[in-house]
Amino acid sequence: MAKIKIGDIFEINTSKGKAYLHYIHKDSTTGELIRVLSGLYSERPANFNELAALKERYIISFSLSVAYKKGIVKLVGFSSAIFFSKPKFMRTEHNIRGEFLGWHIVDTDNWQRQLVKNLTAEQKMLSPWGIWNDTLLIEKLENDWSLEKWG
Amino acid sequence: MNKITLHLLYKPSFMPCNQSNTLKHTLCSSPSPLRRGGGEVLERICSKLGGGLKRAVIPVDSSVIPIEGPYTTRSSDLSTMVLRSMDCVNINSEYTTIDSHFSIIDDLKTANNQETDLYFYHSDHLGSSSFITDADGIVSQHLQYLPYGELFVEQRDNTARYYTPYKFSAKEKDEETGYSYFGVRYYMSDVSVWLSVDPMADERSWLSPYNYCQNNPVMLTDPDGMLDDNIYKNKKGEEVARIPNNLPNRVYNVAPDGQGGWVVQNEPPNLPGTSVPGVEVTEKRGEPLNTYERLMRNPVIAARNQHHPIQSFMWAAVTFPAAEILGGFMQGKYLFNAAKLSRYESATETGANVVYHSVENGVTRYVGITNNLARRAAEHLAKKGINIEPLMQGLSRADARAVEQALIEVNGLIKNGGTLLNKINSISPANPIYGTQLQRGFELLKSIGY
Repeated sequence: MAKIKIGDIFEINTSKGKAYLHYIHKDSTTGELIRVLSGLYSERPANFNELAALKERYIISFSLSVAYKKGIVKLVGFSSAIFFSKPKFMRTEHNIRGEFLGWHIVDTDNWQRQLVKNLTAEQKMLSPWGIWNDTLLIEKLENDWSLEKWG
Repeated sequence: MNKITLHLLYKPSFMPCNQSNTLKHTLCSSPSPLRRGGGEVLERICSKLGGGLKRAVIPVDSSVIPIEGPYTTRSSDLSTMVLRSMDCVNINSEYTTIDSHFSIIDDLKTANNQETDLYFYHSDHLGSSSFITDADGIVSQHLQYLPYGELFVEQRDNTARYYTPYKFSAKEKDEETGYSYFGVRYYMSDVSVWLSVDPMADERSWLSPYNYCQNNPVMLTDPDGMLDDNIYKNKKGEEVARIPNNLPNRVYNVAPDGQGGWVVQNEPPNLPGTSVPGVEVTEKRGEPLNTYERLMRNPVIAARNQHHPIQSFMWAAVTFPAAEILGGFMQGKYLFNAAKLSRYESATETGANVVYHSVENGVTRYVGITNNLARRAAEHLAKKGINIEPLMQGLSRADARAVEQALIEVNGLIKNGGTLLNKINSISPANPIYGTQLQRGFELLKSIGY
């Protein structure tokens, strides 16, 4: 089994089709960062460069290498990731005991947070801060979860 | 000390000398300005001994020599007084030979005349000696105590030349009897009682006159063996509030009043705070309560501590953002003994631990610590959907636990009506470090903008 490298594209199966994940960054603490590419496909696309060039759904931390070793995802292609990097900011909900208090804008370099009550249009496009497991990722894909719908 | 007209003669407790045991200089100075030439200056009256003095040694207190005339005369007379007071011999030479009973000075010398037997005390919040280090910072002695001062651990470096007799509460403990001398009374830490009654015992008729610190030895000290005080100090060691001794023996809570000042409550968490008559709050600086302080004043969260005096006292630390309870209590982030002092001082160091929480549908379900977040996340593959959200990184284990406990307090365990699936606290509320660490956790969370 080949070792994964930045730029690799992986396939993950959902009940509504195949989704593709683009490995773009390795963080020493949070692990692999992936772009969740747009669309769900019944058949594997022929050109992954075209797919990778499209705007992604969102970027998320994901245990890619372990998922690959466990067969949860399949390595299906490669597309250079030199134009993609770790986002400077990501966002997360700030809830205490179920009560929504606002949004935390997280600086991914130092994990500093800034609480905002309402998101600007720009902030709304920030990807979620956190490490998802495969189950959650599949669930979100099947539900067509998107940044626009989040908050 | 002998009063000689306007001058006070101080006998030096240590005398500098050279390798041949001769004393060349000592210092006698005036504590008050001396007039010379119309101006007021601090004058060194005598700094050199010798000069053909052959007078017999007489008790220094038996006579007072008026110092008059020019400076040289005063200097000579004072030299004589100094020599008498030190019981020196062979004073007729330029250099004065030190009498044999000063031979201890030999132990304080080295070939290059530098003093090496220099030791430093490192105390805990009660002032008890915890670590003794030498001039090179090497630990020569390590002490730990049980709450009432009984020596729990004593480790010594066999190569050290000095071991402190000043132990629990910085009081000298007699090696033979095991009694600690506090000034007014002797204290026997092995049985946790004073050997005699408190001379001011009538001020607290509800307490045994033999009790130590109102049976609260972890939080209170008794500097002189007589009627300990409840004194609240801030981070800088400045006294913030003082609970008078004539108030009933109970635990008080010092907290911000929300208007820039402090309020002393008679028992946490009586909210909103009610000033206690007779309690003087000396500090009027403060900050408005932040989110966590408001949370921590939540009766639901606080109720658990209501009937536990020590915890309640700790609670004061939690609700007291810019202040500390008892001197040194927070500066070292420690509470109980030297071991914990060491451990929680190290909490300020960086580490490899990450604190994270997992969120499910906007509800925080779990708070955890790991030194390998990626591996922890991978362990959840092919399981129930989970989002592991990193919160803080680079924490020591102690700090990570402090943050974890703060998050537990904020979100609550399910068994206590909260949302967390965590089964137990990270730091038990019964643990003496609970209060300090909880505040540490909140401070750390605040530092990242949480």
